[in-house]
Amino acid sequence: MTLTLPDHRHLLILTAVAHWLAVSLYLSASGFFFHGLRSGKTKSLKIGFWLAATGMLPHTLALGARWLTVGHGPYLQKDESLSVLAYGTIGMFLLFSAKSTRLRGIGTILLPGALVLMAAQLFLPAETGIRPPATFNGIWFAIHVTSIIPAMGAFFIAISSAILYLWQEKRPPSSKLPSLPVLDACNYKYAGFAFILWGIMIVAGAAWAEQSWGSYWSWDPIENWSLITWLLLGLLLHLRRFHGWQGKKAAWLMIACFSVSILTLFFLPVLTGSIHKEYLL
Amino acid sequence: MVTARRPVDGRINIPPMRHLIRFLLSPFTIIAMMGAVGTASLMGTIIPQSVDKTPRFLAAWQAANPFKFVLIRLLQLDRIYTSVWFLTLIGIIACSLTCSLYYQIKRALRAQKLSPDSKTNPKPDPSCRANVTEKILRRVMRQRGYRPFAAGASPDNLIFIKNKAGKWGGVVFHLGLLCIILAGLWNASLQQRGLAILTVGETFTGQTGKWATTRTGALAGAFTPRLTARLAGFQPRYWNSGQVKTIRSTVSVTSGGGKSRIIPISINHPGYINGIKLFLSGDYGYALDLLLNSKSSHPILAHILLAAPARPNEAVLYDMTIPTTVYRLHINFHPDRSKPSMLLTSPSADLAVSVPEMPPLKTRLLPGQSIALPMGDTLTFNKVSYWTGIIFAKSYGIPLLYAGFGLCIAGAFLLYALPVKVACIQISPVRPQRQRGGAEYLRQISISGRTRRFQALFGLELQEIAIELQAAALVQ
Repeated sequence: MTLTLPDHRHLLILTAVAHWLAVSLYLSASGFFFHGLRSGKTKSLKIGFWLAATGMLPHTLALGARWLTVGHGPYLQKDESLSVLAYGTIGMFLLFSAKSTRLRGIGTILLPGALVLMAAQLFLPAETGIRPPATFNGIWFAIHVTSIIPAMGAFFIAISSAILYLWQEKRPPSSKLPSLPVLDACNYKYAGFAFILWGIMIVAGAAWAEQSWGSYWSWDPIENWSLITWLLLGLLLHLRRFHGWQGKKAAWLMIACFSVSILTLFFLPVLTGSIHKEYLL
Repeated sequence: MVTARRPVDGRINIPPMRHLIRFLLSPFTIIAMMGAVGTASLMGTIIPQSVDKTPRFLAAWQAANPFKFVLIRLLQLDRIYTSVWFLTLIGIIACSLTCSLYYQIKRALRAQKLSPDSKTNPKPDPSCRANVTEKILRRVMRQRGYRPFAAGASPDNLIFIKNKAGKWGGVVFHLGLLCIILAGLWNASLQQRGLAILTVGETFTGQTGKWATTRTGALAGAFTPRLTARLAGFQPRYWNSGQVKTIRSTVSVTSGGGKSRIIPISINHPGYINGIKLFLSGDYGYALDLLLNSKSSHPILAHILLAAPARPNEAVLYDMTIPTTVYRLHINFHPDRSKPSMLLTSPSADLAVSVPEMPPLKTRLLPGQSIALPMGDTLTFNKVSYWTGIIFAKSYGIPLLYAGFGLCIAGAFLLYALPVKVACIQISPVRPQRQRGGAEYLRQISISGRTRRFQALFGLELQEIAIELQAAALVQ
């Protein structure tokens, strides 16, 4: 028996349908999270969680179908990178909140954030004939492009905790939301994870560069800004550890780190003459 | 050992060495250094760096802003990463890391010997009552990844520890960073790199003057690899869209002993011989040999390197004047005349030869064909082949660098994913009391814990443990 794949046109339709189904489910989940947060009903948070988890299925299908259509993984073009980053972010949140049910309220900020990534995808050209350059192969390359997905997931959880902290701080204490110290600890923990995963991305990129060009570090603008992001995260963690930075100050610094990471990933390759321009097609 | 002496007047006299160590260990120094490296990286992105720019660009820059240019040169901001101040900064970071590591190791070893309950005082929690036996307690804690800590064990006061290795996270992470910095400095001082441009069949003898570009470390001499390399083959492959899929080369290398080896190299797969790595550069194209047989002088060979076009249906254009002659050539080269392709399957060159005050002579030449020129000379399209760049690199400290990378990641993982958690559980008897549900609680559990990071999340975990213990006791 031979397995016949659907043709190119059918795959494109499947990608679009699955993508929009996922978006609708995530949107509904965001609504339930918001309602749960306002009303304090844990049932709404639970429904939001399960809707988001269900949304992962068509999202997986959309990514898989696109992979089959274009013949390469979701790392080459901006639109597919945004989709896979949203996927990683939501996946990481679901893993994190599956056990810590009290922290599901973070989804109120995180899910709309992931939806913004998916919405940004609509404004970008979705070309299908582009093939990966000759340098895009090897184990280090695979680690380099894969590690950014959970790294951004960790960044999103940390930034959501930070925003929720700042939002909640101005309001009277409520039992509906995770407490301020818990949100702060969550921000700290996921900043630590982002530090590890961003570090893995830099290390794998350096090893890949060494294999490709014989130089693991070229002080390229994107390399520099990745290092700056990593150093900023390191600074945040050191300030927390040695200078007792927590709460509001740590939340604002986390927002700064996140902004720099977004600048590094999405804007600098367009603005500067970088060796990373290749992936920005 | 640096000690402080108390002089007669009562003031503490701190030796300069201790001052230095205090400075290096100060959190402010560490944070300032991180900020400085970040700022240097930022400046490296904004200010053009000489190593990436052509002499023409630098000359234009100097002409446009002479004062700014001189200032930038003076402060070495045009070569930040090899500047004296940046290397000093890295040196200070290395010293700070070494001192910090020494004290961190000492502290971790000391903590190894201490009982973890020295700072953990369980507070009685009246709401947490369960008939929990030690056996249930141990089972629940084991399921959560906690292990009993022998030093603090007593029947009523049990101490459990999770992620014991986590206390070495800081040491491992900083050791990794130190390895990376040392390897980077080692390589930056001694590395030797050279790019040779070769056409298929051409031999590179490894002499200094033959490099297209070289880069050597501050303490390294001129790069003269003791080997000869002949580019034996070159094979590009393309996707249907015309993008490059792979580039493969074979290099025949003869080392000092006279032994020859064929080394296949491709992008991301370098070759290795006698401590020298051979990388295939991504640049390639077509090398055209044109021979001018002149009646009045010796034959002139023009060796023209053309870059590969961006798309398969594009021709490569080139203009040149043949040296010491009046002939000006306009070349329109097609690698494959039969179909849109960038492979050298059916190459041809459309030539337009101009001589002053005469109409240009236009013709199409295939390799091996000749054309008679207006002044009685003959131009032959001798041959065409591929050219590519081979990077020869001698690097130092790469294993140390990879070890550093590994340690860094492992250390950060221990620090943030596996923080040490100590839970102290006290079981104290309470007066028998009939509850609403009918159960009679005889014991009260008091749980407390200690961790350095994420205390609030650990507090939630301890609450969950208490609930689990109550549930386990009820099941029993």
